[in-house]
Amino acid sequence: MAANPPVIRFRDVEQIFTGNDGRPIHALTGLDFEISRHEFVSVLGPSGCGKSTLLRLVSGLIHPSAGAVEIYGMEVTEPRDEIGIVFQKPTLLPWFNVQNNVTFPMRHKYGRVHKEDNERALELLDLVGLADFAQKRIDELSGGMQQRVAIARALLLDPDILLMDEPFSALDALTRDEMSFELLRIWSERPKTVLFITHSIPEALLLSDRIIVMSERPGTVREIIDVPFARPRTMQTLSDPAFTELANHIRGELFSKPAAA
Amino acid sequence: MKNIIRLLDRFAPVMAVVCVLGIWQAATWLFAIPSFLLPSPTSIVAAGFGVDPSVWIGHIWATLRVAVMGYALAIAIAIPLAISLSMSRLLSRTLYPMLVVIQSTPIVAVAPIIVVTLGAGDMPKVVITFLITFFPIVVSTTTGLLATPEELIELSRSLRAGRTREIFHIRLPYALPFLFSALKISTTLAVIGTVVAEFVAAEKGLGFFIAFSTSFFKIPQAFSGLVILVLLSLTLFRLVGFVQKRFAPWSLPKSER
Repeated sequence: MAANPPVIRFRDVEQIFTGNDGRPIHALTGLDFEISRHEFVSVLGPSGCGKSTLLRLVSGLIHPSAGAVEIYGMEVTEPRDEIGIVFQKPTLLPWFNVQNNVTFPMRHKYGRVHKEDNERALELLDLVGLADFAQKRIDELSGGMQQRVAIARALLLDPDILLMDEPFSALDALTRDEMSFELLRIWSERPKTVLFITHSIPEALLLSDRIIVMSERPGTVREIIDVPFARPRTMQTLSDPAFTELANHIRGELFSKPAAA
Repeated sequence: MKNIIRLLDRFAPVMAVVCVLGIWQAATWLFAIPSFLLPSPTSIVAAGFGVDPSVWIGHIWATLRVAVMGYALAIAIAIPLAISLSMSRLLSRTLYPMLVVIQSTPIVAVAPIIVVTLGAGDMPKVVITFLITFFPIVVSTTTGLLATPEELIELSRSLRAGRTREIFHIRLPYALPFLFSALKISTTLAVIGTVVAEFVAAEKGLGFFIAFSTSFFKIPQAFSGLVILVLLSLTLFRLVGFVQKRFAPWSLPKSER
């Protein structure tokens, strides 16, 4: 892991917003960590701890108040091509069918969709298990299927980095578990550097190489946990005693009072 | 039994109309209501057929032409205006109050002034129709443009697609349900605007026909003009609904597709 150069690097990042009342809101402070190539890293924390802000900093949509976010050693100043984003909601376009939703980034960025893009879209739909749904309307799909389309869309431009902002949190519990295993399968077939925002401890444990546990606002890194379970992870991983033990440890971290500093 | 209920359900709207007409007809006959107070449905139909078809066509064409021109002008101006309003806070802060003032001015009161200013012909009528129709289109379209999910805008920005594509690929299509509901409301408004203009100054058109018939106390004939106006409004309304269903079915609620 250490042999590879960091894909994403946070250098003492601080983020301060101006609230509606004009007072500054300290969202993130002292973030300093690295993410290596093809590493799957989850960011876990209570709501309002700035998890999504952290993701937007990597995407280049917002800029840190202090410090710097680097991708491949270069400071992020604007959105970059290496990044694909999956949001909490699928946010697909209802006027397009499934396939055209997947090719949308191409149409939107370059103005046209070529034959190869359509072939690529079909390939990705096959990858996410929706090969037979290319011509379906969006409202004919379930929530889980829609999120699969969103993942295919994020992969269209073949990004090195996949940013996922609580992508399964709007799904029901069963679909959610299914999607976690699906994501593991997709990730093993198309290795990417993944930054995965979640507030689910089992989800983070099942998916990640490392987990960044965040504190409440101002959000900062409380602990970075190496997840020891061997891959490929399966249903058995969930029932591993070590899994429960680690989950309890993280739960303890999250619910304990802020560390005296 | 089940079939009878289904049939009743299906023809309920038609039957309701027929019942009202029947009661109306019976009332005028039973209470001997003079036709200048409330003409019976049959006398209205008779009066309608009493007018030469070529005369009807002339009046309908005059009204339809002005209504459609004013409506088209409203769309042509309202949509770009809505785009500018949604894009610029400064513009929306400066223009919006003015739009509200224009909207708050009773169009019937302004109509004679506009006719004096712009003279005879279609021009003042088109302007009056435009003024009454464009406000709902601007407001609804602006709301729609701003109702786009934040994530999609972020997706667009992360792709660095540019503002123009953001508007045409994402915001405008997302505003279509809003735009279409305004377009439907505006069809009736367009007909109202045209009729108001024709009341003030016209020598043709259904508004003129009604005013003219009333002044000669031909009340059944005035009513027949009214019926044609309603049919015209309904047709325009349905036409917009048809366009929406044909070209943007996803913008309709599932039950209406």
